[in-house]
Amino acid sequence: MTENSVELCEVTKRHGSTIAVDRLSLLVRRGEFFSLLGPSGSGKTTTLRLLAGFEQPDTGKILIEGLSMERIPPNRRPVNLVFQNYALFPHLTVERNVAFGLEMKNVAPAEIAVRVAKTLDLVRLSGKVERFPSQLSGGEQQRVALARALVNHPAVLLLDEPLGALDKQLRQEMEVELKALQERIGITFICVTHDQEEALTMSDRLAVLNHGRLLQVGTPEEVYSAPATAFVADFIGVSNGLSGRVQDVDGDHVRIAVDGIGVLCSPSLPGLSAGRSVRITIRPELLRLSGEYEPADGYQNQLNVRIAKAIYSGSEMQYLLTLPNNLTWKARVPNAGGRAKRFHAGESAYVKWQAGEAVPLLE
Amino acid sequence: MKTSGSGRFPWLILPPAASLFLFFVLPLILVFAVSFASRGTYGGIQWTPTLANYVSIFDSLYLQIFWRSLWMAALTTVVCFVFGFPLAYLIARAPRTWQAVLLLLIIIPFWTNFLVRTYAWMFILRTEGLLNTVLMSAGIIDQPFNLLFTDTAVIIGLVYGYLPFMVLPLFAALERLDPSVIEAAWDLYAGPVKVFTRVILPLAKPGVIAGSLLVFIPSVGAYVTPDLLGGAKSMMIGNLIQQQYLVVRDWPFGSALSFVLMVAVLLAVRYYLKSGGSKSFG
Repeated sequence: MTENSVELCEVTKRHGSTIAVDRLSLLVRRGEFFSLLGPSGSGKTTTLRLLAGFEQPDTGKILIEGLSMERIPPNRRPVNLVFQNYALFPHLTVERNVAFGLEMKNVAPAEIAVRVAKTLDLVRLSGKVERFPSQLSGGEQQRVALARALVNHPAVLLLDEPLGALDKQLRQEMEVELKALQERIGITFICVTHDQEEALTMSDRLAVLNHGRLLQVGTPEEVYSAPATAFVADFIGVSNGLSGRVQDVDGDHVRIAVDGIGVLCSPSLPGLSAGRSVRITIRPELLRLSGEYEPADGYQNQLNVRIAKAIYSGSEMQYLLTLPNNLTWKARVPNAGGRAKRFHAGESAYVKWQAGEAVPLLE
Repeated sequence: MKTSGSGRFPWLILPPAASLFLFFVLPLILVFAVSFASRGTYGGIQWTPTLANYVSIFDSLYLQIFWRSLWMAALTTVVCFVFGFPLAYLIARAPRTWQAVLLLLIIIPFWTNFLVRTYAWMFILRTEGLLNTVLMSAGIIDQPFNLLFTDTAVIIGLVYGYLPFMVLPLFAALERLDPSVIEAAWDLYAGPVKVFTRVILPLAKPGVIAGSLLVFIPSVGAYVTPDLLGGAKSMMIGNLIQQQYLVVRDWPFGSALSFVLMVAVLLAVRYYLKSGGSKSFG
């Protein structure tokens, strides 16, 4: 047995003239919570449907638990899908919905009863076995859909925007619950979402897709703190960016000349040399603000900005900053119980960050 | 105490109630009354109450015709379902713009008189008709076979006539079916047969019931189709009743036959709703 639950090798899928999935290669390890993150049209749902077997790749190979899935229909694959709209059987009770897969596999009735009861207990729906889907709330329907898939003990559970239809508070509860459930039962979860917060909270690892291409794979921390492309940096939370040209490389650091701003210091990248176009990105929560210029070493960046807007949002202040070149950046400063210095719209300030906090990207 | 609802007479109910009474209840009462009268010497109605009409229905000849009618109607319903279901499914799954066109094609035959269309079938089914000519010139058969004036011809005619009444309610039911529910069943290890019997059919049940009733009920009483396409031995109950009224001029016996037919259909429908309608796809 391999340690990989799912392998995609150079998978391509076209829908008419558009490429839905473009030479996608991925390894998903056994027992991990893996997310496919991307905007709509990024190919994440098509990837999930290829894994479920509703669509066949034009080229490339898909292995699940080491077995080739070529020409294997959905009903003979060791995976189950939790549909975005849940797709519960409206004519069957909760209990019969959950029992459906086991009945189709001709499992003995006594065993079906035990497993259905156990799974409904797991998703805390034991009291609603006789209800019909139309008599349940959205959150309950979601848990029935989950139970209906999990009761079959699939090798891989596929989830299509599992929390998309729930309201915000319920969604945040379910994020934690879903992750805890996955850890308890140890099944590989592959979850499609367009919500970066959801992906970061739940995943062990995640893949960012755009236009059918894989942009980056890694742990949430890796993807968040070291985005591989400007798109990833933007998509995983708002990022501030500046484009410039490399002036000189100094060991681990480079100095970058930015029009209308000056020279900024950033970590180096392999293959960087003087003259290359480069973009640096930095997260809003890493920026610090102060009222006056502070002399510092060459590894600190400091820009004179104007506060365009100051927004109070409880635990933190959100500032919109106008840079000397008229670009707008965002900064998030914790309020620290009112001890942090407060800036107001129209004021002048200095925004600072350590060279190492910025992420350089080749352009 | 006077409430706004009970105090006033619901005048608006009068027109529909009056027309229902005039055109439905009253004729029914008349037919029911006539069924207890007896035939006059020259075909009139003699108002001497008698049960003789009902008694003579239990002649094996008439019972056989009743039985044949129910059986032919049931067969028509089944054949309509077998042809109608794939058709309705196809239309329900077609792109929106095509749906309108396909539904129109289903309805277009209604624009022509039913009698004319049945005559057209006579030309197709005749020994030297279209069907035999085509089959023979294609070399599939070398002797023309006799189709017109057989039970098969009657079934063909009935299926042709009532197929839209099966397709339209089935379409309405299938169109509401969420395709992801079918995918869910597929994902949960159901093969094509199980997907059909366990998910599609139960969810289309209201359409199946409506379609079956809409085909079965008029088929039992059909008389144009068996009259034109059926042979001397293919008489159905509709023909018998028509004969009593127009040929034999025994109105009392025709009325009694009509009433027994009505009761038979009601019982058959009740039986269908109680057993076939629910049990076969529970």
